[in-house]
Amino acid sequence: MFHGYPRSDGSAGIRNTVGVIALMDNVNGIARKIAGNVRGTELVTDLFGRKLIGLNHEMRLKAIRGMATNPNLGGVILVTLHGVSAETFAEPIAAAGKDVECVVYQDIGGTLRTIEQGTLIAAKMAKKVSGVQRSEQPLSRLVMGVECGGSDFSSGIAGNPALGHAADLLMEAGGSVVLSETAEIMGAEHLMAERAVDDKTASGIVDAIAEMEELARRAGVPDIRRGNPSADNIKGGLTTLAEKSLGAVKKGGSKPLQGVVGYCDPVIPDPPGFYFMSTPSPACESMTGLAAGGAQIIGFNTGLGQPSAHPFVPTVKISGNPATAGTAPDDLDVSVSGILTGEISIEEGGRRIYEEILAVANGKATYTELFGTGQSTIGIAGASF
Amino acid sequence: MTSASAAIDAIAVDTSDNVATCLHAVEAGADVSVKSGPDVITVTAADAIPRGHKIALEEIARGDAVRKYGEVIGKASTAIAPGQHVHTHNLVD
Repeated sequence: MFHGYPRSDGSAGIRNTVGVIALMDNVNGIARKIAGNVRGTELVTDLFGRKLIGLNHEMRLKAIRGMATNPNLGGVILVTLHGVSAETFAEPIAAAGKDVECVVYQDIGGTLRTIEQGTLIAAKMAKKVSGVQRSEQPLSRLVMGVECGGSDFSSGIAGNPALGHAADLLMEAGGSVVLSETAEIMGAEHLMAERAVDDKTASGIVDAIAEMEELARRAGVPDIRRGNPSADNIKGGLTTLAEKSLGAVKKGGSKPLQGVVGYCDPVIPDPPGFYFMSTPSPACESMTGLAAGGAQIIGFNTGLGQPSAHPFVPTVKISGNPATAGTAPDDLDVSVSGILTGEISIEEGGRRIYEEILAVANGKATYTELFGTGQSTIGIAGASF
Repeated sequence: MTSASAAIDAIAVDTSDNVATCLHAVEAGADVSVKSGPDVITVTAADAIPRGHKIALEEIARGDAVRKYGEVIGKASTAIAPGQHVHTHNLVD
């Protein structure tokens, strides 16, 4: 059980934010000003959004619609250049039951007037949204993304196994967990497939990797497995590709794989449990997929330190590296560095992470929320893996 | 939750693992304290092993599975004795 904000579609948010989303890069500055004017808003800006074609166009539509309907948002302000783009996005968002308003530069006229009107619209929505109260919610409505970045020798032997134990505790209590980053499961895909509840799910994992390898071949990279583990990895002590990948996969816990979804597709936690989303592996692109999929919280393990978080999805930062706990205390919500000094077990580290995950779900702030340093980036198919 | 001494030299992620990861460089002949689940076991290093590299906890026959994180990460390409460095020279996919 957790205390979340009930939404009309039956989901529950762990935050009650008004999302300010720029639909084009040319209005990023205006959207940034509007969000900066109104407390209770979070900003998502755009890059490469205009004139995308094919798969990338489809991915962007799913990413924005998905982020806008994340349970953590009480409402959405779409900031854009012209009315056509606003309608394309506003209709499906409204149909999903989310409060949505558009701020259209060419309809209002002028940067300052657009900022002024947009600010008033955002303030009115934030005021309305602030009236929603937290209520008791079953953990079956909580979906946690798991992520790692800035990995080092501590990641596979301390932080990721501890986060995996926290993931298991959440799933045993009825919640769901989403692992992502397709390139990072290469070499461990047979083990992921073995964990699948049925053949369709098992082939979903194999297909996700095959699709990524095909995109890489088209981009002129014949074998993206080659060079992994890298010379640096080998110097650091990793020997095989399976060893490297299993160290990353470990953060998802050990439960059966219930389903595989594409980048930015909704993760419907029915039944609750372990899911995989096929995403690029850089953290901002991957977390944007998780946010669009409906994850309300992300558990993020880092070795050397990594400051990113998604603006709409509280991101709990974890490290198992004692040096990082010393140099980046302002980035770590939970340190499990005691695992490497022998002070705590992996299981105890996992329990500490799980407690923080539940506390953040109930309203406790993460550092990246306090700093407002979140960043959303929609991946580009075939350009990053 | 934790056993007495906090001074450990290596960690086995899962109690079924037959290798552990060294937390700092160890010299050949050194006694290595390995945390494995609730226990701390001692293995004598047969080779010098750099930080982040693996030490064998038991005898692994040629062709046998090498286990880390409770999973198979590859197989031994030659017989491995307890305390030996496990890396590209004796572990393959």
